[in-house]
Amino acid sequence: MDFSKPVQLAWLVPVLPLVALILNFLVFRMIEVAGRPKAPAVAGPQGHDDHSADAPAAPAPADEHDSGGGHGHGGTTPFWAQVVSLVALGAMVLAFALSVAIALEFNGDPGLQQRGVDLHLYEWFHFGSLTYNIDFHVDALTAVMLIVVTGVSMLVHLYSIGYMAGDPGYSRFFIELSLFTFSMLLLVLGANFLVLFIGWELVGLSSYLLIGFFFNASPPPAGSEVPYPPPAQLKAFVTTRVGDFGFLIGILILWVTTGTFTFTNLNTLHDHPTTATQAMVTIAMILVFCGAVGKSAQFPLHVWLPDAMAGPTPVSALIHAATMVAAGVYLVARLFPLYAEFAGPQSLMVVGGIGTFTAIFAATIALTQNDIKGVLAYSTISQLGYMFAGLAVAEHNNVGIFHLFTHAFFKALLFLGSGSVIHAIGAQDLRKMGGLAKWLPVTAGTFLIANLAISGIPPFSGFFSKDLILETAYTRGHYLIYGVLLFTAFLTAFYMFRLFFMAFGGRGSAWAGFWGNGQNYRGEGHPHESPWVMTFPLIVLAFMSIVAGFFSLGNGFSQYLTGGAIVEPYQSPFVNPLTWISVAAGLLGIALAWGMYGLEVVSPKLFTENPVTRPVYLLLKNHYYIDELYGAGIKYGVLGISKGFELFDKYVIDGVANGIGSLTRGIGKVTSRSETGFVQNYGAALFGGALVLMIALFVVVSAIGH
Amino acid sequence: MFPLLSTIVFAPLVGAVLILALPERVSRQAAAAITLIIFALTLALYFGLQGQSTGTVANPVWKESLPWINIHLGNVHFRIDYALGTDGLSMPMLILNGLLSFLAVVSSWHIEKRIKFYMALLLLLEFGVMGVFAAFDLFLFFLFWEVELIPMFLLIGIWGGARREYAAWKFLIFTFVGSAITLAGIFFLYFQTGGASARFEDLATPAAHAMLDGSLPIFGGAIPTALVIFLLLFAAFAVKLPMWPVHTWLPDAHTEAPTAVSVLLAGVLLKMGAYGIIRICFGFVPQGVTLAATVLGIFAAINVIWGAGASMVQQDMKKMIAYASVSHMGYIILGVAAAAAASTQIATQGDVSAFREAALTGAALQMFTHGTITGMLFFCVGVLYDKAHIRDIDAFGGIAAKMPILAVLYSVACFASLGLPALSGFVAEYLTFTGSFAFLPVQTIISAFGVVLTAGYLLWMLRRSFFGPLNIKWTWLTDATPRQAFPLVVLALIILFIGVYPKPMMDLLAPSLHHLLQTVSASALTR
Amino acid sequence: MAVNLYSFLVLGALLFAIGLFGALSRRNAVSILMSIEIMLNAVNITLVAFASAFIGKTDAAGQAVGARLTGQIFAVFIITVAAAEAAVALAMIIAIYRRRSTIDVGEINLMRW
Repeated sequence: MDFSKPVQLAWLVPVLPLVALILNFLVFRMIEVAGRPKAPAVAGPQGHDDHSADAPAAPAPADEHDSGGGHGHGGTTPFWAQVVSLVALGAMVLAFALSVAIALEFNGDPGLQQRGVDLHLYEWFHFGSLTYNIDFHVDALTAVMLIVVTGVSMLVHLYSIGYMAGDPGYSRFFIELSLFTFSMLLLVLGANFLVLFIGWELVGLSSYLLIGFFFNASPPPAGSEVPYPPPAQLKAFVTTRVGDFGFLIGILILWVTTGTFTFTNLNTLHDHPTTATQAMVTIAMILVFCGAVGKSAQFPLHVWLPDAMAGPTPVSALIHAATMVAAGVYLVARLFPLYAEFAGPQSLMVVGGIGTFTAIFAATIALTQNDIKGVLAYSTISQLGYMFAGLAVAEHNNVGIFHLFTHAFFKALLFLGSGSVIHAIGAQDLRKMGGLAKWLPVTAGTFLIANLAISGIPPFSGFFSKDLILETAYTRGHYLIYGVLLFTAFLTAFYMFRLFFMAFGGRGSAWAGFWGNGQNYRGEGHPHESPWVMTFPLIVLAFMSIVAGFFSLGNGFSQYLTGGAIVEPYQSPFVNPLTWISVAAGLLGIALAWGMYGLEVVSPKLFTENPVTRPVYLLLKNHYYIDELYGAGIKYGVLGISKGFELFDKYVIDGVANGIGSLTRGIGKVTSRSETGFVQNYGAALFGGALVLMIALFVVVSAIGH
Repeated sequence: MFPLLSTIVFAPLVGAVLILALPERVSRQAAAAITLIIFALTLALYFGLQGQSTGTVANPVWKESLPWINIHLGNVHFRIDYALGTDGLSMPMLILNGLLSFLAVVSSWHIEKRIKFYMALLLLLEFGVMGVFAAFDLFLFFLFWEVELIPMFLLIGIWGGARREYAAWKFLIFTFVGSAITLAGIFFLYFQTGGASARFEDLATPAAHAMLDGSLPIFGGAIPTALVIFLLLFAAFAVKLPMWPVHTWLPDAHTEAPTAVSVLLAGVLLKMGAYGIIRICFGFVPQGVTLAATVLGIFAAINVIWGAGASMVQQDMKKMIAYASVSHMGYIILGVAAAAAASTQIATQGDVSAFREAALTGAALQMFTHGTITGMLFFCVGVLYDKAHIRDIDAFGGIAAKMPILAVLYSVACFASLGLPALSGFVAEYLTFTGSFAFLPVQTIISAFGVVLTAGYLLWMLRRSFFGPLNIKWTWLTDATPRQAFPLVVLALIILFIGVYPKPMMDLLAPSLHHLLQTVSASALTR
Repeated sequence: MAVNLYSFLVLGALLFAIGLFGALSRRNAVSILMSIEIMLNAVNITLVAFASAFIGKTDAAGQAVGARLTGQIFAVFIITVAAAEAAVALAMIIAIYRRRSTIDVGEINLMRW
């Protein structure tokens, strides 16, 4: 083992959280659960006593989340649960350090950036030339993803120590976080479709578990915009599975026609024997993109992501904003040569079309939401659309991935900031906030930085990545995409600052509405700033949200990602007039939000109560009624057909089977009448029959005789 | 040489007699001890043969044989040998049968009704199933095939639920009709191949296959002999599998059977059908399977979708899992059909036979994994039912708060069943798809959609029963006891192990199936 | 009219027919038993008649047929068996009568479907 080459140790990165997971699950959590105060044995109701006697030894478990909904405030975290969180955090710190070392090793080595390093772990099995291996592949793209995943995950672990403190499911939460991190690292490290798909499905599992973290929650009251965990987790898993179905078929097409799962072979298809035609690869790549549509919540499979906000807020930050939902983008980036070189242009057209449409589609919905996490969820969907559009219009995968990179920081920051708000006031409805900057200065300040980043205001990171996408779209002639995305940038700035003013500022606040002084607080109780374990990650992420964009200067990031393939320098964004247009769009959005929610000189009622725009408002408010449409489709389509199957079984197949049975029995019943049970009747029949036969014989014989 | 295989096959029979002889109060302990010993013997058989070649039909790893019936009547030669053997295809099933029988006994501890007779019947069932997987003579195979009927009929009919008699009769009649047709097929095959031997190694040869060429005049048309024999042989296997449209006995039998019997029914009895299709149909009349491959693939897709759809609307957990079994057995049919298909539908890169092997091995692996996964699901329902005395999905709600251990294990079983990676179901399904897609792309795509539906109905069930606010009706529920959790944990570990590291299992299965495919392609697939 | 073989056969046939009619039509178990006895005796007559008709005849191989007394021996067997049968049957009838107070075969239907 050569420690001077950390990339050779890349396998250790996912193993660290895995070890933490196993250790925590089998040792520390067990100790913690065993140490819980036992609830008094509950006697069964009358009639069940015989069975409870059968099983007297079962310890009654402490009830987690009987009250549902909120996370614990003021409760104490047991010692062993704290051990669980520290072990998980420690593993993440080590994994992050290793990821940084790997990323640095790639720096300045274009050969390594391009070629990457293959790590063979072990073999599942093989048939002739067909191999099914558990292999890792580390290249520059992977290195970037490793930084993003381990970095954000580490900060979210730290944050959660504060956020989840006192929750009865504290240790379970950290175990599930470790599971997620392990799965996500597996996904980005996989050298072939097999490993990627394993990670892909396992992050789905972690997402399922964490969305349903408050599994005993009661349904929210009618009219609430807060999603309800049990159906949300089901929806998340099944919706992404629909995408995975297409993904699987795409993999199968590539597999059968190329005989390999390995990305390096697929991405250099010209050098390998294949029976795949361009049309086939095109279809396969569109199907693979279906998987990305599901995982990255693109239209029409976006419906699960807003509901996924039912999970604890750190989960929303880590999984449903920064990392897992970006897996679809990563997938397309990973297979970018296949999309760009081997498949027909149709495949990237589909990617760009869906991405661009989703970007504006989700942004319009975000305009009207009142749940702080709901706005952020739709904003995430919209930004993911940006990334896909960025991939589709560019020559390399650097454009989309750069937005993924910067977005991970500022979107994680936004979610963690919203978590801090929720932690402070115990509510997540924007209408119950206002002027919070007075009590939560760190949260408000970092939130503002993230807001400026996502709105594309220089010099914050989002500006660089978003501008790169817009500029690439324009220069490569995708004017429609450019126009739609530009308008989306305006909408983004508007809804993000609408959120900011509603939560932290508002009329009467200091600095022209930006910095609330508590006068217009609409909620109850006394908000308080979060402890340092929660604000520290916010500050780190805020720092990253500012500086992440600078990586692109001098094409640094792009050169790194593509192994020096980008020749055209991207020196300063400001030489191009297009830049000013996109910045202007962002500023316009901010100005509008400022006017409506900061200074409150323009009333939103102008749009919501106006008879012309009110239907549009309701349409957006209700997410274009897509949930209702799908609900009806499942209820009447899937379940209807299923009911048909069952009825067919019951009445047709069983009808035939039972019918044959009844028929046999019926015939038997009729004919059994001839069996009187009287021997005399049988005797009569016997001799009568003999007589008939004798006469017949006689007649025949005499007839022949003549 | 110590006749280890015969010992494994007949030990349950001896054990059944022993239990009947012993007093009733030790029946449980005796049955547990006997089944544990048998399970240990199957493991000994497996580990004792490690390092040797894992064997094929022509050269099984373990072989015991004695002449039994050998008569000449005129020019008819009738010969049945007592021939036992095992290779990579049957070895996992022997181990699985040993394991599940043991776990079934453990999980039946609470049964009070005529426990002595019950345990004896469980062992008799184990005897029949062991015999099926160990027999290396076609007639002997059929003999063992029928042995299982009687204990199964009685176990459902005596210890079952409210509609037990209807279910027992339905099971018996469906199975019997199939068996009768198959017996005709066995005789047809025996005489068509020269009527000198019904031993597996004599039937699974290119020479024997060649004798099945030609056609029969039926209804004025010429129908290939091999197809007729295949269809006859297939009858019992299709019923046992079960294949649409002869599957309706299964939901009834599962719903009414006691937990342990459901486990064995899903875990090993259905696999007898799958084993028969691979070993008997595909091994002995490959031309017939090849001719029917496309249609078989269509039936596989129907099985998958139909079973999944019907699962979606069930209220009874057991019935839902029974339909899920129907759905999952479709993947086995798909794998076999693909391996037998005459030619690829998509131009493949790589050796065509490798894709065949992937499909067939996936199907064979699915036999084992489905046995463990569905066994685990039924055990979970059993735990719940023993406590609550109902299985209605909607009657529960939020019980994860009261039964966290069961909730975790039940979820593991559900995720394994819906094909989550790192659990064994994924390996089998993924492998089957990667093989079958080259030959039957449309059928594979339709079948793959079953993965989505499976996620839908299983997680929907979890959501309705385990999650959400706790239904106040169930505040008295207690979690699984260690004895109830034991079978679940054992199966979960096996599922996880195969899901993470399938190589040992594949090393067992692959050589046998490789040989099978080589023999077959010499006879059928190249024509 | 000379008494020859045919006369005995006709007698046997008539007796058999009478017995058969009785066995098939009577409801009383004792009557049925008596009718069966008549049928058996009809057979006896036939057997003995055939046997005596063959006295002095030889078969194709030149063996004397009538000298074997086959028919007579059969008749003796039948008488023996008939006596045993009558004893058993009467015992059963008495047993049934004690239990059911009837010997009408129409009412003895315990094992009827």
